[in-house]
Amino acid sequence: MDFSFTEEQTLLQESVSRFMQNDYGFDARQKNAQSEEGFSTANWQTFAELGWLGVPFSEADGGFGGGAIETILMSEQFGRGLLIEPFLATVVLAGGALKHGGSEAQKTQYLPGIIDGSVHGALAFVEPQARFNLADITTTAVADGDGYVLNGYKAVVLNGPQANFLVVSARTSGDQRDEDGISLFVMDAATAGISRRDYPTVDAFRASEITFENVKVGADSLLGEAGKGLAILQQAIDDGVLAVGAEAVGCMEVLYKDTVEYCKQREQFGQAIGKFQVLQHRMVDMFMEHEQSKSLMFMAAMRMAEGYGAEAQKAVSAFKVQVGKSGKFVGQSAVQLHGGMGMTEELNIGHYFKRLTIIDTLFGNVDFHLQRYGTL
Amino acid sequence: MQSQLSEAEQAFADQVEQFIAQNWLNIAEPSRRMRAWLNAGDTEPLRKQWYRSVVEAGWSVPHWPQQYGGCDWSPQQLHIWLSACLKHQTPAVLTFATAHVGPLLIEYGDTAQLALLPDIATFEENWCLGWAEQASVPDDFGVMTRMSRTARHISIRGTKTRVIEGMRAQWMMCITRAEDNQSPEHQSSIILLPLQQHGIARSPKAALSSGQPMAEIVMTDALAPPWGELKIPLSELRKRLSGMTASDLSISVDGAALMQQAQGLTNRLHSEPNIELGLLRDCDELAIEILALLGMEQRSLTDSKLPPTMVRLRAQALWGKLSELQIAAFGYYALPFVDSALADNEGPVDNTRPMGEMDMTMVMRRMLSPTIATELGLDLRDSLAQEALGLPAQDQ
Repeated sequence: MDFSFTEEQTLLQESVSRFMQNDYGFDARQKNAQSEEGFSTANWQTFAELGWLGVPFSEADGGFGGGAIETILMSEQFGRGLLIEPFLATVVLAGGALKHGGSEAQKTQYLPGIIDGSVHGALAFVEPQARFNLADITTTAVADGDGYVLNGYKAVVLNGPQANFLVVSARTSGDQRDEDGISLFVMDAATAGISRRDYPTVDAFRASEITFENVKVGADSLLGEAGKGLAILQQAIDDGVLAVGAEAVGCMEVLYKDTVEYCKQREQFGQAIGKFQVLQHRMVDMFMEHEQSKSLMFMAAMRMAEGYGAEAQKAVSAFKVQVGKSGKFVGQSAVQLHGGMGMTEELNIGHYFKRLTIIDTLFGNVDFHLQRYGTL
Repeated sequence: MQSQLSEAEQAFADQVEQFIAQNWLNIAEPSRRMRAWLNAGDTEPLRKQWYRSVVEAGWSVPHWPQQYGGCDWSPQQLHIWLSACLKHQTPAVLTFATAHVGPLLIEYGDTAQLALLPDIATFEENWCLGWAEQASVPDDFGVMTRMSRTARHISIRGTKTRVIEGMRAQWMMCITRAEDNQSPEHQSSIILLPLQQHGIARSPKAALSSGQPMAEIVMTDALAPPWGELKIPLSELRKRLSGMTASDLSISVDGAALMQQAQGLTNRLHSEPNIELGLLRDCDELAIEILALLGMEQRSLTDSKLPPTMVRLRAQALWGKLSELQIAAFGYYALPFVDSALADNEGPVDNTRPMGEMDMTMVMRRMLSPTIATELGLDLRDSLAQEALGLPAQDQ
């Protein structure tokens, strides 16, 4: 096994790390989260200028030809800074669906805008009844002339409020939970018949409930082959699992390190509480949970980089299981060891914990991925 | 980054597998191998045969410098070799002598002490650590064993308890204090003590984990050679033995053995008609944790920020989890004392399993075996908290 990075990968990691450390303060982040957009458009432009928004895309598509390794390197640093800019929604999910299944024309239409920061996307794949089953789809796309008509409802569409385009999963044939018969469509978010209800999420992101009512799209809107969209969707989601998992690893690192520092400073009974054995052991366990997750992060990324298939999917699910368990333990422990301070809005600890809690739910929780791991 | 071994590493791994197959797996039935692995007395010839083949191959102390018999291996090669030995349950190549005594002698020993190395490297002489004492607190100042010097030898009086390998060791690394009343930090001495002499009386102390018992060793004016004091600060010895140093190889080779055991259990459970679904789920969860351990093992080979102690701590916990699942999986057949089932040589108690497959013994042994850290009264979490996280030392 080889856990070393290439020179380019190291430079990328350092670049993101430097930005998050020096230019992405917690207070500014909180202020940006309250803004109309829900994030900093200036930061987003900076990401574009630094080339980060093009990292996962091929050079032919105007990107940097990065893959799973680059994704985790960046996302881990994003997690350390508790990033709220919609990198996941636009680049990894919507961009990922285009990367894996888009036609040349579709890529030409959308990817340059993603890469230069002028266009936002969202992947609309969740339905209220589906829990984490990607194939449980009631939204329909019925062939109509040389196009399709979509009707249905998508829930918790990340970055829905800012999205200029949507990638939508819909059923073109089959029953509600059939794996065949699912198609993906890419369309302008302002297409007639699309209505949105926007809201903030617990972890300070933005999302939408989106209704599709007789939404007419052309045949060129179909992403990949009709009825075979699940494989593309699954791959984009697994990219997302890898990204949020790496983000969780970054969050956990901050939590355990900040907790250690706090316990070295905070005094009770005339001495630093970090001297108490029971607290020391808790912090060691936090450290250990972080390192376990990090190890599986590398293994999952390596599997994904070596080729997408059952082995990669299994490794991704294993990673997500570990991240879910570790994140909960590290987050809860950090809040507890900070005492009352850990419960306040002003301290970053609780915000990291909220993000970790949401990450556990995103794209399938521990139970879901444990089941998936066992069946793959 | 790549998740597979390089071509050269894979070739080496294949060579190791072939060696173990030829010199261990194919030379005895699983039940005999299991008993030999457990140190059963009547399997000594089998164990010796294995050690002979290892010595002949030149692989007995690969982690030592080459001039003392070591191999010019990479950390990855060492990991492959040691992992494979544990996975296939060979008699241990990393003993207290080869893992700890040898490297300490090489680093701190004088000429006379270095002369002890060849017998260690050939597994001719076993060593044990004499630290724990009855009713003594587990710190450096609780040692009651006394040493005094004369011109011709060092004399030692005292009793060591819970001595791992103490019943059959030829030498002891013995922690003592000088007779005179110096300040505590200058009192401790580490003496290399031959155990086959009149001044030594040993009695067995059964260990939970079966296999060889520990020993209680009474030293009544036992004599060590005049060159027998190893000049190493006790605090440094404690650190070395607690596994906080990167040179301690024995603490990060469990992953492959664990995975083999866990996969075997899972496969078996899948064929059971009456198995609880929760148990299968727990097996999957364990497999994921073992995957993480494997990743940690690999990272610890090259990443100095990942303390090997953490890897050992995780491995201990996972052996424990595996043990719980094994017991649950055995159902009523968790009740028989496995050693007796193996010792009667009449086949397994549970006739649905082939001989040698019942590996709960291994699991229990690994989980319960008194580690050196346990003997020293050390908690690996304490070490990690202070060494890796920089937290202040606890009040004694």
